[in-house]
Amino acid sequence: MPRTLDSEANVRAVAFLDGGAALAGWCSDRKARVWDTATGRLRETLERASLPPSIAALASPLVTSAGGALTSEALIANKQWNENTVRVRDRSGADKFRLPAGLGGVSVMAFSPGGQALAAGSYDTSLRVWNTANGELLRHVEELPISMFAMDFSPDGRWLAAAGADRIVYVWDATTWRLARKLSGQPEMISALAFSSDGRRLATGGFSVLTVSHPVKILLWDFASGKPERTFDAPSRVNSLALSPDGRWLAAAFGSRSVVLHALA
Amino acid sequence: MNDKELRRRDILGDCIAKGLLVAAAPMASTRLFALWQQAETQAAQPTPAEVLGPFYKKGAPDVSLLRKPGDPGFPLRVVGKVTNTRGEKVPGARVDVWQADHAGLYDLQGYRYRAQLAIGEASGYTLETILPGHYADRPAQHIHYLISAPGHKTLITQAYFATDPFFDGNPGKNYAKNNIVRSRELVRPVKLFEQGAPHAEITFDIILEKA
Repeated sequence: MPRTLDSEANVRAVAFLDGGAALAGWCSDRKARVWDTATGRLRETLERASLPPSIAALASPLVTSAGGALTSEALIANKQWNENTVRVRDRSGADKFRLPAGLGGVSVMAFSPGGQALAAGSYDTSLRVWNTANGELLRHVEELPISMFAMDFSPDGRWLAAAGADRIVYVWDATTWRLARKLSGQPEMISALAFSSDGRRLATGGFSVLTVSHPVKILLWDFASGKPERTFDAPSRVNSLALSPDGRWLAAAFGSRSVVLHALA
Repeated sequence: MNDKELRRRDILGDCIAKGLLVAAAPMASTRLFALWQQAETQAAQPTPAEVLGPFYKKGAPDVSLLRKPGDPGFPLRVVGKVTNTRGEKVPGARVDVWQADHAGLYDLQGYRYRAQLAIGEASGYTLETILPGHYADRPAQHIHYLISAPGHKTLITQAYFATDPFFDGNPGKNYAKNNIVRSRELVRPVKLFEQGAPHAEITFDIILEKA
């Protein structure tokens, strides 16, 4: 049976801490909650200003690189939606770059594990990857048919996986920025995606075209074979997924006042 | 009034004084000037923008007929033309349209109810489709548009229907309900044709801004 961790506010994003001993959730009241994974007990509630870097990465709408060296946010340039900008700031909050990023709004962003690259997808279906040292555009993906809603780099930085409305997981080789693989099998549009810390597994979660409150599936993939290993039920749109570094847990957040933990071992 | 307008007024005044600008019928020079000025400042406003939404798809076919024989849903014809704020034709414009089917579902695997129209010399376009259905997360019926043209700003917008139950029969008052629709102008009156094959029709003209 999956375990449910309760929260006073809706949980938007989750990440494991302490090698999997704790789970952090970023919530709609702009606070982070930290639970003990083994007991499900709430350890602490943290204000945004006091978040450790490992949790700060969750605190949307900003996307933060590991260690907190860089943050990135999507700017709505104008009410015409015909000019997206991604703003990258350094640790002091000073602007490093403002990068043009397509049309119609930014749908998803992610930093590479070391923060050397930033990837952003837009609702016009384009996806861009920049070098965060100099703002250089490393790859401009124009061949995607549809928008990406979820994205993650593999922990070794070798792969970038993105997925969205066509239910396919696209995987790029981050050394050449060529499209390397496509994984099919998720029955719904994909709204959440996460690698395990050893890079061997990938979790994806969906949302129904009917309504966000429709039940959906979470898939756990063997990344090497590209085959789904296990399937879990989810009550509604999956907003965020995390796999514990010890390989024991899959955590899922649905934008509701709880997090579900599935035991994997 | 800025410097540019003052210069324009000076030039026009000069032309009237020198007989370079004369009215075909007797008309006071002040009236002539006022008419000229009015016409120049009455450039059309660009079509208001709307959100792109998550379901845009690249690569739709250039077809006007989106409806297939036997498709459920009420037949709808959309007619319009693409011009810019100066009233000029916009050669090379491309109009992407996409909408939900009668049940409120978007085709995310293929291109049902999706098209990319190349606008020709006549500047007009026609779509033969169905009234889009309602869906829970965005309860007003709409057709999405993305229009691009050389030398013009890309426009992202949506057409709505005045007959939609969402507006409770009064789009003038209710268009802004739940922050769904951003401009009254995007809610189009619906004409019903009962002769022959019954169908509804809206006009949705697109006015682009120069880049």
